Amino acid sequence: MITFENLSFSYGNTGEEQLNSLDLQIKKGEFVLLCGRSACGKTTATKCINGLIPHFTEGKYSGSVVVKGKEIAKTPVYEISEDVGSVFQNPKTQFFNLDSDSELVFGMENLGIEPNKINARVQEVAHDLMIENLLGRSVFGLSGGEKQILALASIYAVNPDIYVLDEPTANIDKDGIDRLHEILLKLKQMGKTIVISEHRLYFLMDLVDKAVYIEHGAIQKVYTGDEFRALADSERIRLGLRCFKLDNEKDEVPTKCNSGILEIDNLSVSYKNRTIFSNASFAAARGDIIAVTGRNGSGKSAFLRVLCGLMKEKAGRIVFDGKPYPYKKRRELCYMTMQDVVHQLFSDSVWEEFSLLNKTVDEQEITKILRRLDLLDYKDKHPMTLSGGQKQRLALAVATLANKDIMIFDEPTSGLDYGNMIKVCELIKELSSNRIVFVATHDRELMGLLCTRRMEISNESISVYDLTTK
Amino acid sequence: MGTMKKGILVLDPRTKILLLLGINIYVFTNSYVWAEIIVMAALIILLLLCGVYKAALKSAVTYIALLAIKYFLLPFCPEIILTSLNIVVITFRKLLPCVTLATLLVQTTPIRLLMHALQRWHLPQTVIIPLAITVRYFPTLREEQQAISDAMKLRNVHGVFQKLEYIYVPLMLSASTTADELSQAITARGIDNPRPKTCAVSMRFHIQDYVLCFVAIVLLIIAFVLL
Repeated sequence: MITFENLSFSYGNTGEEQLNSLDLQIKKGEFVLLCGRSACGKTTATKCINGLIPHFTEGKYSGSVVVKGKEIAKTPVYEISEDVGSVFQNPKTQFFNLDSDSELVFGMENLGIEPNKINARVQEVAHDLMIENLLGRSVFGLSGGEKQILALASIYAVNPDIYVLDEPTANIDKDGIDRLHEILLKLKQMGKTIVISEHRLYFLMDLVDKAVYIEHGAIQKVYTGDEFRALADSERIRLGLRCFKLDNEKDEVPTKCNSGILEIDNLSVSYKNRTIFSNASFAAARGDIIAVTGRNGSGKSAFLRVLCGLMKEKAGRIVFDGKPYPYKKRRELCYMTMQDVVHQLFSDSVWEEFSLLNKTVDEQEITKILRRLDLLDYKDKHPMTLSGGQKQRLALAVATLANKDIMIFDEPTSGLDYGNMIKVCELIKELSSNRIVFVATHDRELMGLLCTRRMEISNESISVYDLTTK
Repeated sequence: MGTMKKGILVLDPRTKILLLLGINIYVFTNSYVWAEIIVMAALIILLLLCGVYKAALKSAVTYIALLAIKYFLLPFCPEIILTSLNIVVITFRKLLPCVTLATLLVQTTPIRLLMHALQRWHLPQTVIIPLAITVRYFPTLREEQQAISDAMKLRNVHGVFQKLEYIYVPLMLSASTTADELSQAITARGIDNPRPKTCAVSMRFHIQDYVLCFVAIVLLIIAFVLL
């Protein structure tokens, strides 16, 4: 179905080879997992199948990829798209249309299918994938999970034989992941060929027929599904792969936690006239690492924005060290690292980024943190030239030196492999020794490794649990 | 399927584009204030009928405010302020109908229908696709601007000039990735397929479309022939 033959590719003129003589055979109906560390070339490999490489992204291309008998490099992308459907990592930027119905018909209209057949097919898709609740919605009103399901459904509408997914779960909650698993299972049973590049592995272990481990752009090993599932934990960690099953989850005990330096006193939060929660009270002490959880769209970011003084609370008080902190004053107390770190980099060089902190920081301290996060060689570079992972580490470095009493991290590990996740965990743990840390995340592996408490926002209220190792 | 019906009146995208052209050329060539007021009032009624209430209200308030400044405030101003402020007020007033209609177009027309409309007029794909991506980028831009503004508050960036200085890097960073990812996603969905596209919604002119297109053409004739 898909054959890579001695394929090499490098982006632009950097010369660094992103893919190095790839040879791979994928048979019809196989479910193939591409795995490996961050930036190992998984995403690049998916783009070689859907034709974005070499047609959209330019670079040095040699060798060949043949999909259903057509050589990708010689076939225009629109022709490939009839056989290969793609789901991308970022749910925000993969929709062309702003309403779900348009998105579902978009691919079929591009193919020139007759209108009455299109409308019948939409009903069929909605029924098959049980997404009736997604019809007639604005894309901006959908949660991250719903967006990924809609993206998959829009491809299903065109009915290609091959599905290529690039980290589809990077930003979605447990329910979203469960729904995605259901649909992938269905596609597999229909005999579709599926190629997925992912860091989170636990949800697709039962589906995998073949796992391809990629390192520095080359295939290190191809496992059968059973071989892969039988890998020992130590071997998995050596390969830098995230957990195969969620077994590090901790016991949860509901807790009142009514004493601590930070007191949340009868806090009510609402966003755009919708109540997120009301009258919540709890306290936190230095050293606490609190996971902020809740489904996509439950209001986690609204709570975080209130906490760090970007939005006004509806009622209640936030008290630190005996002093109440009104809304804008809380910015002196808290610092938040956002999920999309590009919004937080303002300067034209890595080094300059630190001059924008509220206070002056010692040059030695900057050097120290940059060295620790492998950024020292890049200190005069423009943030534009950094890779995604480097930008994320720079944002972490800035947060560390901001040196506030309350630190907030919004999904700090999305898209990270095991090794990098552990690095981020260590840094956050170190920071937490004399601070209070909040981590908003859907990543249950991270929660198990890092957090001491979990607060959940659901049904307009907050519940807090102590996490203890089983 | 895929129409965004809000108010009691639904217009064909082509009508809206034609009206946008007609009204703007008219407003820029016309120098009678009363005629402009009539056009603007009609426009606001049209927006209300199409169910775009918020934008209608905003436009009405802004327009009245601009008129009030011109006729009640400026006559009492010293000469220096008068000349400079006069230009600003008039420019904004002339641009307002354009903004109002553009809002109507964007809020009530799915982007793919806009593309279909332009295709029926046989515009080349090389014009339509970049145009569609540009229109699609605006709502994302608003989200990004919000995030950047948050980030600035956390970093203690204050004042208009400092904000303007620092918005440049994050906006450039996110705009380049967003535009890239968007174009990749739609390329992979076969947008540049040369086969004639079909449209799942029947795009037909109704009475309201004929009436409004007639209005647009009349305005154009007035603009070019009579003025």
